[in-house]
Amino acid sequence: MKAAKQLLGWFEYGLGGLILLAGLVIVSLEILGRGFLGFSLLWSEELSRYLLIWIAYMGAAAATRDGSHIRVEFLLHLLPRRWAHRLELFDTALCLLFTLALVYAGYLLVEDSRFLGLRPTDSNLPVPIWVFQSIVPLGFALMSLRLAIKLVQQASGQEPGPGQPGPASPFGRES
Amino acid sequence: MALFLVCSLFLLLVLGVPVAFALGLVGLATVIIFDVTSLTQMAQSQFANLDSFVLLAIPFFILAGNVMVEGRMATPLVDFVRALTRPITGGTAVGAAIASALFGAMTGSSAASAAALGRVTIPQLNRLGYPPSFSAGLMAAGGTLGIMIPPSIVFIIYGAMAQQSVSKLFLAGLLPGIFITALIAILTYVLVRLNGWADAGRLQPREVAETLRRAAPALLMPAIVLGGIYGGLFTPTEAAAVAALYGLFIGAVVYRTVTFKNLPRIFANSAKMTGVILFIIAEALFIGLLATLAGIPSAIVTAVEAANLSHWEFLLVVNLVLLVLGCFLDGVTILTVVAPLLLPSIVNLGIDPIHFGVLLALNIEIASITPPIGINLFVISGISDTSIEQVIKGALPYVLLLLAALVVVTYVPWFSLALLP
Repeated sequence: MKAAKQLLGWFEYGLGGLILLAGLVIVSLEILGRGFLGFSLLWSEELSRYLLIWIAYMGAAAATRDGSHIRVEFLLHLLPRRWAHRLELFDTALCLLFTLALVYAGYLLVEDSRFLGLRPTDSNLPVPIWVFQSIVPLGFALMSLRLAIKLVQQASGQEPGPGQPGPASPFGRES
Repeated sequence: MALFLVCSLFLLLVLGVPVAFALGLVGLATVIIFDVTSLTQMAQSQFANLDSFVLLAIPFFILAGNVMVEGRMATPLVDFVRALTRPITGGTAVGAAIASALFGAMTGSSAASAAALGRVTIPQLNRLGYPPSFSAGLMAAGGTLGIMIPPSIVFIIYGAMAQQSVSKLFLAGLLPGIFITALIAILTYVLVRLNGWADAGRLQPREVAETLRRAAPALLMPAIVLGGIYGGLFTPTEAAAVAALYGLFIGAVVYRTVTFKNLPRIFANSAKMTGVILFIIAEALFIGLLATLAGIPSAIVTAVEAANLSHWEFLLVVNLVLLVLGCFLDGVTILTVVAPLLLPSIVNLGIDPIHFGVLLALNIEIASITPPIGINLFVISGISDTSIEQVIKGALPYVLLLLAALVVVTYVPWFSLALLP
């Protein structure tokens, strides 16, 4: 169980970082190629845009893990502890409701694109578009998993309250 | 539907549901209740809303900023500026304000860069006998300069939402950024003189040369980014990638502060910070679509026309609304949720959208140092062992200063438009 959780943390954090690295490499290659070597990669712009979407949702999953999504904490700080705790539970449940619905919606989207055999529109990338779109159900599934874990922890009183730091990332805290 | 959108969003935000999820929930509920579009369409928009080469600049600028923060590149910069401002009374404090502006010109600017700089300057200032509340307030205010000074993530987001050129927006932010930096430096000088905090020295050419040698590689960064964009060498997105690469290069080779060991953390945290911003953008664009279907922006246009407001009256109202919202909402939310509702009215009244972008940036600067939830106040309080009340007290003169600057920048469009072709 503990090992599985660690693995999940590495996946959420690491994949986003790796794809960011890949995006940086592709854009750099394009600049180098165009500026100095006289070639242009036809697919580089479209691919880097799709990678951005992957970075965004993997990053959102990592942020769900350590509670760094932006929120208005005004009311949570005003309420007495017990009520703040209940509200926190309620908020987590609402978030989970949303991400679960989007896992389903994302699955519908991927199925649609597969059925229609849609391909990237701007270039000759030899990959069907559903492969890129699968980040929607995947990203929301990761967020759902994390929110579900959080909900259980909050219900059993293990989760630190608002204002307290969450768990450190598997790569260490930001300095 | 319009009423449902506004009320439910407001309720969820107050309850403390994270902004991106609150927007998503309202979108989901609207789709189900009012049957305006399908679930598949909503999933499609999660994907398509972020399918933008312009937005790709955000992770790269965040990465560049994190490299500079982790590589402790604020230190040589602060030392260099301090060597230059030494002969001025209160030179260290004035220098800290100027260093904030320079650091803003190197990073896409975030609370993280404000923190990095504050960590270097605040202990220095306190050692020299400045009151902790003053040092903290100064650095909280200085940390907002990067929002206006290019490159700025705020302008990238606005450019993508309002379909405006990011390079034009960067250029538009330059003069107001310099203007506000000068104001902050002058106010700092005045405060030092009034309170008789002494801290003066002599200009030492050797110290200047020595610190310049250390700071030069970092100082080249803004030249490469802005020179590259306006020299027509690369797009803002490519400039952001170059900034990240250059930062990694000088961090690894020149300063030797960035090693293979901290690379995974830098990349992973940059991806996470990107996710926080882009997730909000994706949901806000979907809500924006629903708001347009519900006729909210056009209702605002009609209301503004009916009220028969002149340019300046309208901008006054807009500023007041943004200032009030800024007390409770963060910059990204204002930018992605509120600004699109106002844009049609802006265009209808013949106000330049670029000028409006600059006003938004200044409002967001103010919002990040106004209580109760100004992010810079909390960040600076967290890194400096200064209570939040003390930071608020120290930042107050600067809040008033930025308000005065807002009036000037609003009613003298020359500041934002003079450099544009």
